[in-house]
Formats: sequence, C-alpha cells, structure tokens
Amino acid sequence: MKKLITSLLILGLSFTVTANELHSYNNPVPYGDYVKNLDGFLARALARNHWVLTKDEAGNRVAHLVYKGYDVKAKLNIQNKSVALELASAERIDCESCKPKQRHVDGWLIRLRRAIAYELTVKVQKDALDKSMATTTQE
Amino acid sequence: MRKIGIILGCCLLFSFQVTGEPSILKIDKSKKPFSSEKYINAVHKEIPTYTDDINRIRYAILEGMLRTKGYAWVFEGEGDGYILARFDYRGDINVMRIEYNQSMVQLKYHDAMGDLVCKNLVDDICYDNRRGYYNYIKNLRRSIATQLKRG
Repeated sequence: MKKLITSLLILGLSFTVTANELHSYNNPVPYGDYVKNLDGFLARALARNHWVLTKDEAGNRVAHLVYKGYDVKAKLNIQNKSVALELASAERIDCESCKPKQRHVDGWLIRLRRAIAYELTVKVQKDALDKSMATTTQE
Repeated sequence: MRKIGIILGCCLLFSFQVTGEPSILKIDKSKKPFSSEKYINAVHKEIPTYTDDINRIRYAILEGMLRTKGYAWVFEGEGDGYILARFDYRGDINVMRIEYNQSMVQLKYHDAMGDLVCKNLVDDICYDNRRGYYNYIKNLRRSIATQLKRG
C-alpha cells in the first residue's frame, strides 16, 4: 500500500505544470517541424537586425553583430528542435578603454530573439494557411 | 480514511495539467483584488469563431497575432488546442495561452515578467494587473476577433 501511494504521488507530481522561467533572451524558440532549412531560416531572421550568421572553429552557429561601435557574438544553441541564444562576447571597438554597456547588448539580444521568433511565427502562419486551404479544397 | 485521502490527493495532482479549454467567462467578484470587469472582459472574454474549421481558426489566431495594433505577438509554442503567444516590450514580457476549439477562442494568462506579472490569477484569468497588461492584450484579442469575423 505504501509503495502504491508513493508511486501515485511521484506520478502526480510529475504531471504538475512546471513552467520554464522567463528570461529576456535566453528562452529557446521552438521551431519544431516548421523549419526545414535551419541555416537559411536563421540567416533571414538575423539579417532583420543587422546580425550575420557565422560558425566558430567547432562548427557551432554564432550570430555576429558589428553595430554602433560594438562587436557582439552570441551562440545559437540548437537542442530539441529549438534555438536558444547565449551571449558569447561583447566588446567596444570604437574605444579601447571603454566597457560595453550591458543594457545595449541585452537590448540587441532581445531584438534578435524576437526577430527569430517573428520569422518562425510567419512560417507557422503559412503552415496554418496551407492546411486551411487544403480543407477548403476538399470541401 | 487517511490512505483514501492521500490517494485522492494524488489523483488531484493528475488534474493539474495544462489542458485548458476555452469557456464562457464568468467573473467571480468575491476574488479580490480585481480590476474592473471592463478590463477583464477586454482581455479574457471568449471570442466566437464563426466557423467550425479548426485550421481556419488556427490561421486566424496566427494572423491576428501578426497584425496586432502596435506590436506583433510572436509564436512561443503550441499544444493540443492552444497556441502560446509572447510579447516583449521595454523589458517586460508576457506570454498568453490562446486556447481554441470549434466554437470559441479565449486568451488566458500563461506567464509574465516585469510590470505585466498578474497580481491575482484565478483559473488563468488575470483579475488584477497594471493598466498596461489590459491595454496591450486588448489589442491582441481585438486583432484575433477581427480575423475570425473575416472567416
């Protein structure tokens, strides 16, 4: 009986909602099965806000921004059909002794994440339109 | 008796899943504090679908997200009968769960950060929040309602 109650308790707890903690730019963007060509998708999304898609020595995807005297690099971590941003480096190239302002860097990263999510939203919308048209054709 | 209580408690835990279905909004005025009914309705009142084609309803929701006045909402994920929509603005974040079925669509509070965090959440309906929450999300609801009417 004790084993049964313990098992039920563990099972029940595992079904409770555990939301991922919200973060300004770290939360993964779940592209799922909507994106076939990931590099093309990311390159288009990044270009919206002057970022460029590159790869580092290990072959990992990196978003690179040279803008307003800043050189910013962000890793694009691909896992479970989603892409998450991680700040790799941020430097001032216009002033050797100056430190980068974090609020500027955070702002650009937030807009980068949003650009990727926006590009995904357009893809999901198109998929929904195609399915809707397919339903209309069948009728 | 104690064992039955524990088993019942475990069964209740199973029920705490994100399953939500849209439903007719009924505001419980005893759940204070709450903003005015006008604000709660502007965000959480159910929207009729004018069609029973789930694919068209889903398309109308996504189109509504992209065409929202001011700032588009972006896709944050989906599940059976719902789409998560996210809004980032000036350091504040809001994620709404847009639940839908063949007869209605309803916006429910999912998560938030900054000034848009709900102060009184009742069955995923935000009863008390800053004015900005109601103003921003009212536009999303209106946009989706417009797309659903167009068919």
